[in-house]
Amino acid sequence: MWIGFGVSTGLLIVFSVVVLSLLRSIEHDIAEQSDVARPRSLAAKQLEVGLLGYALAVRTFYQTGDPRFKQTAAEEAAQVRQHLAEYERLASSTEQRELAARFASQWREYEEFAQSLLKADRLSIRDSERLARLRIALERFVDEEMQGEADRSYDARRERTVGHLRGILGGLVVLLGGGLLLAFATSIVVSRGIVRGERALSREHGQLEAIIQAMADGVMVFDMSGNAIVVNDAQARLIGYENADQMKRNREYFADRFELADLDGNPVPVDQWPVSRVLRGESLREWQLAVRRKDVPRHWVISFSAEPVRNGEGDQILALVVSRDVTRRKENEEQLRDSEERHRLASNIAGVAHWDWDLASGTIHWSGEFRQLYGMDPAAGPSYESWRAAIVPDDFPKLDRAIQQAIAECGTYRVEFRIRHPERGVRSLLGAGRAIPGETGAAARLIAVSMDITELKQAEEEVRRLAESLERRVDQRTAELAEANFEMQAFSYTVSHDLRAPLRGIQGFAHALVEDFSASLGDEGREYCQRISAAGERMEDLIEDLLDYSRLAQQEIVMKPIELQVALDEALQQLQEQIGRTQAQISVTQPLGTVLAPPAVLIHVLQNLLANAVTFVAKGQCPRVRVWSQKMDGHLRLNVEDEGIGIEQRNLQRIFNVFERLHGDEAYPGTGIGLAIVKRAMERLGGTCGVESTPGKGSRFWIELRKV
Amino acid sequence: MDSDHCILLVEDSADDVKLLKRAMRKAAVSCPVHIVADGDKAIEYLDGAGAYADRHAFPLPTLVLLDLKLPRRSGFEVLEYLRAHAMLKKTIVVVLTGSSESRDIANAYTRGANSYLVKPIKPGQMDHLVNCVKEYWLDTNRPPPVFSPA
Repeated sequence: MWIGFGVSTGLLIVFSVVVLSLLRSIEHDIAEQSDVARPRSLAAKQLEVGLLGYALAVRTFYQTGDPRFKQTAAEEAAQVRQHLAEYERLASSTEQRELAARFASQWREYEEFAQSLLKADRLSIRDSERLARLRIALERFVDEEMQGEADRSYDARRERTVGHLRGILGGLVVLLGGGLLLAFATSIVVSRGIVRGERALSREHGQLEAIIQAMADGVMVFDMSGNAIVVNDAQARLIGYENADQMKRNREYFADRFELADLDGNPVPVDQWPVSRVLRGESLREWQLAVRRKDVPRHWVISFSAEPVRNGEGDQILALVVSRDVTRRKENEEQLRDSEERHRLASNIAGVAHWDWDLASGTIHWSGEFRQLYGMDPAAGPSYESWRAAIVPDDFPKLDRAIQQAIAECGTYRVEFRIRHPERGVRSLLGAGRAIPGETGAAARLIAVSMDITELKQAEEEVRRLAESLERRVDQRTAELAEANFEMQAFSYTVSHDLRAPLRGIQGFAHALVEDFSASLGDEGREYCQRISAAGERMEDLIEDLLDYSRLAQQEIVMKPIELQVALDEALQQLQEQIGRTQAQISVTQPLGTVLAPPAVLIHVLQNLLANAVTFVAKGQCPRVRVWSQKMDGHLRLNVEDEGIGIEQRNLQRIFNVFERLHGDEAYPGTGIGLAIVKRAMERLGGTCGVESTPGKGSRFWIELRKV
Repeated sequence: MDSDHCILLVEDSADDVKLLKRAMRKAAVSCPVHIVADGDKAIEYLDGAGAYADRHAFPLPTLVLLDLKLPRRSGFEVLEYLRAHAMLKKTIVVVLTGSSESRDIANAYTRGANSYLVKPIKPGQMDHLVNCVKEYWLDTNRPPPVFSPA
């Protein structure tokens, strides 16, 4: 994780560009030096400057992601290699050559590591520290070289001042990691001082002060007696002082006014305070302590880092303490812990396993449920590798893609995947997670949950399989029906065409016989011919009705509104001959209303009902038929009532069957299909039909259709 | 007058042929009536091929009475054949069949039938129908000129 300066990225870029150009000019200055009495020391100096430039460019690239700094890093690295070659060339003794070779090998290690980091897209604390260590080692090496080549005429006091400043800066470099560049800048300023001489030094000492002042973290530098000699404004603001000068006091002053405690609430005595420990030569890294001010009721959680500052001989001369306010962060962490506890409980209840992956350090924490869910060995600690190994290989890419995307976008993911559980076999899991942003806004943690959905998937699969087989069966039945329908059509076509052909012959020739040979046939012969014709006619009617009946099953039904009166008139028209012959009286009670039905089918139905009513009357009686309609619930019932012979109760249901006849053909001619046609038609139209009857008094047939 | 006419009756049922001829006699149809019993023979006749090569003995018909259900090629195929040939495509074709299926009626008109008649069953109706055909198609209707360009 980054330790930022609070410097915005834009400013950082401007700053880096300025410093890098400054570095270039320094290198130029060094190269222009007319005093070349110490060429190796100059070459070493150039090396150091190049090194700083390189480190600064690498650093800035990480902080800003600006590809220009990647390019700058490459240029600086080329510079360093050039100076290194020069330095090696100038080595005159075996000892110097060895020195140069050692430097070269350290440089290569540093550069290689920095280059490998340039390829990654993030920098962990570990990497960052290693980078800093390598660079410091290189700097120290240059120092040694400088000392070895030291010009004895150098003013000792100046040397000491420079040493102090560089010591403080070195401490800042170590403590502030990601903020190295500011220290570099000052370091460069100091370097310039060394090269240019004392006159420039005091001016640039002021610049150093200014830089420390500009820092967002609190900085205090103590002398060895515990007096604060340097304090920046950020430090003053941090613990409620108006300005930095008010804080240039000794340790005892602070001991009176502040109380320190660890995060568990245990008091930390003054001799264990960061300043005390660093004065004893200890280094501290991000030691978080609760700080309470006694004179005003305020408290903070402060992260202390501290570093002793040593002179060239390695003796400690100063103590550097850097403070950062992490109060809000701690509060957030508290809240997170609370919610994590609730989450853990909820997870436990729901059987949801969760894991938490710190992306920077790569450490993973997973819950007990997680271990159970995956069947992980409790002895083995959590690791990405063991998690990955549990996932069915085919499913890993999609899961990995989703996770990587969530990390890249700092978003969420939700994926179904399978794992191989050592005892339970392949299990289906639902994984969901969220990437949590760190201080830079980039994903720092991934919190994820997994849940066993094997049973759910199995049920889903079962449903899918059933639906599929059902669909297959429906398809099969549909095909069968289509085939049956087709056969039916072929059948009725055959009937209509082939059955009629011989009938035409019978009818035609019987007719011809009567017409052409009437005289020779005699009365009896003519009667026989008459009977042949009549039988043929009946068969013709039968065929016609049968065809009507079978067509009803196939006909496409198109519903449209039709006035019952219109349909009735049409049906009566078609029955005109029969009505005239029987002198039937048909009375209609208007209005009849409008229904939804295919007109042709409705007319056919009415025709059959009317024909039925007109036919079945006692011998010698004129048929009297009454037609009226009544509104039912959403339907319209049309009644056709006759005063005919009626139907016995036990026969009421039979009369709607095909070929069902209750009377001999002589008494009441008919095919026995008419009412079957009515019933089938009503079924197809989604309507109903029925009959009520009193033998000897008459019948009332009705149909019900949807009314408009 | 129907004397300039020539009828080709395409009919496989001997009963129907006999009844039709009787009805024609009664209706006093005087033009020649050639009879073929299947679709192939109908096309052969129309093409003037094989046994029908002599156009004097077997002139092109001015009216074709065409049954639909025929051995070999069906009435529909004969109709299609007629309509696809330049020399024959204007020939008047009256479908005369036992089928009253709407599908058949639609198909016949689609393929270019000029008229569609259903063979009646009721005694006496055949005479009436043939009489109508004679009066309309032979005596009233103006047929296309026989050798007009396509």
